[in-house]
This record gives sequence, structure tokens and C-alpha cells, in this order.
Amino acid sequence: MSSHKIIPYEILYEAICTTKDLVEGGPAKDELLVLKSFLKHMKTVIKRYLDNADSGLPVIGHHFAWPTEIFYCFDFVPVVFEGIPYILSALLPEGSERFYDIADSFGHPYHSCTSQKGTLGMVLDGLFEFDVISTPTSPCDNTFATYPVIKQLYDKIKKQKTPFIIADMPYYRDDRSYNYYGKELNRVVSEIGQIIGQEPDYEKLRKAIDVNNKAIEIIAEINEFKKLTPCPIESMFCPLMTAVLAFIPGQPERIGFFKDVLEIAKKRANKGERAHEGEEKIRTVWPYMSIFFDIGFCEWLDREIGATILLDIFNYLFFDVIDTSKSEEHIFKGLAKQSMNYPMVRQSATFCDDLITDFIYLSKEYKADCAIFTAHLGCKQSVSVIQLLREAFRDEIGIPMLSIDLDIGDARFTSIATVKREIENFTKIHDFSKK
Amino acid sequence: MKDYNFYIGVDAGASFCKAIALNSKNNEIKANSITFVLGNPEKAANKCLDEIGKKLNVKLKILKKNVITTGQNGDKIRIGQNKSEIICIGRGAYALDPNIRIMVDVGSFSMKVLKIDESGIIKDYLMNNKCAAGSGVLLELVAEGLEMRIDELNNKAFQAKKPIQISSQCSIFAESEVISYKNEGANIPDLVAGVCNSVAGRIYPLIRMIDKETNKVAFSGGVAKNKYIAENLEERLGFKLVKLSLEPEYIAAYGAAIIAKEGGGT
Repeated sequence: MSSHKIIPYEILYEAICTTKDLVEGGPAKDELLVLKSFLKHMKTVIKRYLDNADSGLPVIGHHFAWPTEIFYCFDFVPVVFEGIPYILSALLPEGSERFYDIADSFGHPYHSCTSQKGTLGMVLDGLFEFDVISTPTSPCDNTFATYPVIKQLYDKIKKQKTPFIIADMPYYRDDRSYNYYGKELNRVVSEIGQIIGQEPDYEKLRKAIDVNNKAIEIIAEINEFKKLTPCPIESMFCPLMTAVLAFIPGQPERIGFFKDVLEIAKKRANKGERAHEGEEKIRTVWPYMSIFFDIGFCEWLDREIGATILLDIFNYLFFDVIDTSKSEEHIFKGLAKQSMNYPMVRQSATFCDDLITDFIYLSKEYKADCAIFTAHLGCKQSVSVIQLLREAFRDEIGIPMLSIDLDIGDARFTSIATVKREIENFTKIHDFSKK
Repeated sequence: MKDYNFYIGVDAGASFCKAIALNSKNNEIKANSITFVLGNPEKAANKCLDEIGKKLNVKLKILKKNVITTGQNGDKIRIGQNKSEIICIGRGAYALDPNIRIMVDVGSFSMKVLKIDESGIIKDYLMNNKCAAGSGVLLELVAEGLEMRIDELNNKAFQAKKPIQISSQCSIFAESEVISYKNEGANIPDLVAGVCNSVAGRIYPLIRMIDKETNKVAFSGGVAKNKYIAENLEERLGFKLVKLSLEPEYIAAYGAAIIAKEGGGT
């Protein structure tokens, strides 16, 4: 590997290879199947990105909330800003703390979201070379505030003016907004094409969307299996799915991963099994995200507590496939609709009702016993809804919600031992065995 | 024939360790004890048990047969079983008064609010987990800063004519703010009353977050011994707190002892 343009991806590649060796060499053959599939596909994809960066393809640093397929009009290397610090926090023994500290030392507010602060630290450390940086104006204030900072500091370090492409995402979710945002996405494609000197290839875009369409269908099937008691899919699938959505858009490995998970789910469901031995004691939904900084956390939850994470905010897609046989205008409007209803964007970029109604609906649908809310230090928008969510869970469907103050990507803010203790206490106090 | 069967609840908090012994027939308290934790919960628990043993004229070995530990440091004591503080507070409060629907417990570093249903089951709870604002440590720091004992704060606060508004929510900043006021020559009772009001002001929203309607609220933990805070809380709530027939710092230990009696400690 010699891709000095995207050094954190080199680190990621090494971390994936090491973890893969450990996982495949360690537990029994039928253990950690979802993680094994994830590592296999991620290894292929990250290697491809590194090779493409080496071959000189332009590097586009982007927000996870794009419909990333739009960039597949081009030959390029994607760098998902919010993904890289968190996947490294999961896979590296020392996590991404070094990068947060670089950003903190520079004077960036300690309480900003680590998903972007980590990337800022990497930029300050000179680990990236971008041809374009791009973001929508949503889903959160962190995005709106941190991207211009990253761009300006990157320019200062590199002594250049990097193209910075922004799309204006409307606040309301209606037809007028989808039309408007679809046009914004089209403009972004056109501007990026001019910057990197490539003509948009809409056939390639259609192929990328077709891949995602297939993945959407498989995810819907997987989610049907999650309704079973016991749930046949391990909790770790939830954070891994988040990573796959962020890192593998529009590529065959996306389908490969979800197909593997579906097959695993089918086999276990046929035997009425869960992923681990022992009873499924508690079915949980996580209205925010699960924890990234400790890769073993989900296994602990499954094995020691008998608790399953059915869904977090990233695991249920509230949108349909896009008909790629139709016009480009239709396709961009479809992408706009998907992007504005993308996990977390849907629930964060507009009124808080969506977050509440979505999770009340999902908790009923998936027969959840309780909710666990990770009150992420950097996410002011989601933590502002905690009390409303708690009341909705309690008053509308009679289930309790535990809220834990933490940083999902930084092991130092609240230690994993504290998180586990709080969850253990919560499960003992509510005694879900009497349900 | 003398009854040697006792059920013991030990609540090892951040600052104090409390223990209660119940007899085997009913929930009558036969002895209690309290001591400082001083960084060694196990030693503190043994000291409490030792004192109870002397009061009851029973050997320590016999007392240790049925013990439930609880509290912030309860899991560090290698005697009996450990139970969540929330469960023990709820159990103790319900045993003392089954009509209670909300239990507020404020200790040295923790603040907890529990919602209890008609059958004594804890339906919901809230607790501070990252910040000790509004807990007993603020009172300790302020007492230290004003060079008085913590139990003097109550009487001082009642002497206030115009309580000063304490703006800081963080205990450390509040202490610093209090010292600044003191250095500016502020009236000490007004200052103490301001601090007590700020503690009550932190507790009140937690109660309303967990239940907006009930007026069956009781107050436990060391901070509940401060009557000025309790009265200020009553003013905010608009009704009187339910008085329990046990000193507020013993409620969790009492609940633990009941759980021990119900078989949780064997």
C-alpha cells in the first residue's frame, strides 16, 4: 500500500486485515459470522479505494448524508468524513483518540461531534489530499459549522484553495422540497464534473443506484427476520450496517454483505435460534446510534445480558428504491428523497417528531422491551429530544428508556465499564424477565 | 427463646456507610449504624456491622448470614449480595408508605428520582451520571468554603432575609461563586439559602420529568436532612412532601434489609 493521499484508509486497511486474521484464527467456525463477512467485503473495498487513489483518481471528501451514488457518475475515490474516525475507534486498540486530541489542541471545541472532529485531526495531521470537499447543509449544526473549518484549515495547510461544494437541503419533507433538492444534486454533479475534468456518466450512476436498490430490498428482508423472537441476527450487525452504508455505496460488496447476513438469518430462523447460546432476555431499540469505540460491546450485550439490539437509527430505511429506467430528473428527485430520508438525516434535519414517531412505530413493530439512548456529547440535536422520547416510550407504549451520557467514538468520555454498569443496573431494576 | 435471625441492609454511599438490622418476624428495625466510608467501603461496612452486633449482642458471623449491600460502593463489599440502589430505595420507601409514587434520593454525589407503581414496582427512574451538580457534594464544598459544618447550613439558611441567586449549576463553579460573594461581603445566611435553593432547583425538574401529576413524593438521602431544601422543594412542587417514619439517610439500607428478609440475601 502506498496511497499517501488517503493515509487513514491505509491505517483502516491494516486494521481490517489484522482484525480479520484475529477473528478468523480465533473463535469457532460458526461464530462472529456477520463480522467475518463485513471484514471480507470491507477489505476488498478499501483495497480498491487505495489502488484507485494510487492510480491518481480524484479524492472526494464527503458527508455521509449525500446519496454517495451521485459521485458514481465519475471515476473517483470516496472519503466519508464521519465514517473514518468511528471505524478506526472500533478497530484500533488505541481508537481515534489521537486525532480528536490533535483537533482539541488546535482549539476546536472539545464538545463538538467526534465523527467530524476526528477527521479534522487527520487533516491537521496532513493525512489526506482532497480534490473536492462536499457536504449538504444538513443534518446537523456540527456539519454546518465543522465542514467550513475543515476546508479552511486544509487549504491553509496545503496552501491552496480546495473546491468546496455544498448542496442546500430544505427543511420540509414534501414534493416541492424533493424537486428542489434533486436540482441541487444535479448541480453538484455538474460542478464536480467541471472541477475534476470528467463528464458525468449517467449510466454508471444508474448502475450504482441499481446496486443500492438491490441492497435496500435485502435490508427490508433482513429487518423482517429481526421481528422474530428470538432475533436471529447478532447486535453487532447494527453498527456494521452503519459502516457498510457509509463506506460501500453503489458497489457489489454492499449486496454481498447484506446477502450473507440474510442467509445467516434464514438458517438461524429455520432452527429458531439466535446468534448466541442462551435465551434472548431483552429486545432493545436504540433511537440514536450504538457504540463504536468498543468492538466487543455488542457481543457482551448479546452474550452476558441476553439483550439484542434490534435497530438503531441507521438500521431501518424509510425510503423506496428508485426506478432507474426513468429520466435523469426522476432519478435525481428519487435520490433527493432518499437522501432527505436517509437514517439520521430524516430524524435530525427537521422537526423532532420523526425521530419520536419512527421509534415508537419500530418499537411496536419489533416488540421491543426497552429503549437505550446513547446521549452523544457532540449531538446537541438528538440529546435535546431525550425527555420527549422518554415520555413517548413510557406513555404511548409503556416501555422504559435508559439514557447514557457518552461519546460514541471516544472511550475516554464515559468508559465502557460505566456504560456496561448502567445497562446492567437498568436491566436489573426493570427485571425484563417478568415481561 | 432469643431470636438470632437478623436481616441486614448495608448502603455504602460515596461518603457514608449506613446499615440496618431487621428482625425475622416483621420489618421492625432492631439496630442501625452509620459511619464514614473514607475510601474503604469494606472496612466501613464491617464497622457498621460490628456496631450493630454489639447493640444486639450477636456475633458478626451470624449477622453476615443475610446481608444485602447497595449504594455507590456497595459492589466493593465482599459480604452478601449486591443490589441496585434504585431497587433498594424503592423497596424501602414502598415498605414505609405504599402510597408513595415518587421517591427522590439525593446523596453525596448522586441524585435519583424513582417512579413507583401501586404494587411497588419501579416503573422509571432518572439519575445524574456525569455531573454532581445539586448533590450533597455542593453543600459540603460550600460549608467548607464558609468555614462551617454541613449541618449548620440548615439553620443558617432559615435566617436568610433575601436569598442570593446562585447561577452556577456545576458544584465546583458554584463553590467558587459562593466564595466570591463571601469575599464581596454578602450576607452569609442569604448566601447559604441561595445555595440550598439551587439544590432544590436541580431536584424539582427531575421530579416533573418523571411524573407530571402525582403529589405523593418523598425525599431521602443525606441531603433530605436539610429542612430548608425540603421546604423549598415543597414550595416549587406546590404541596407537602410525604414524611417517612425513618431517617432519610437509612431508606436504601432499610430497603436492602427487606430484600435480604425476602430471600435476596441468602
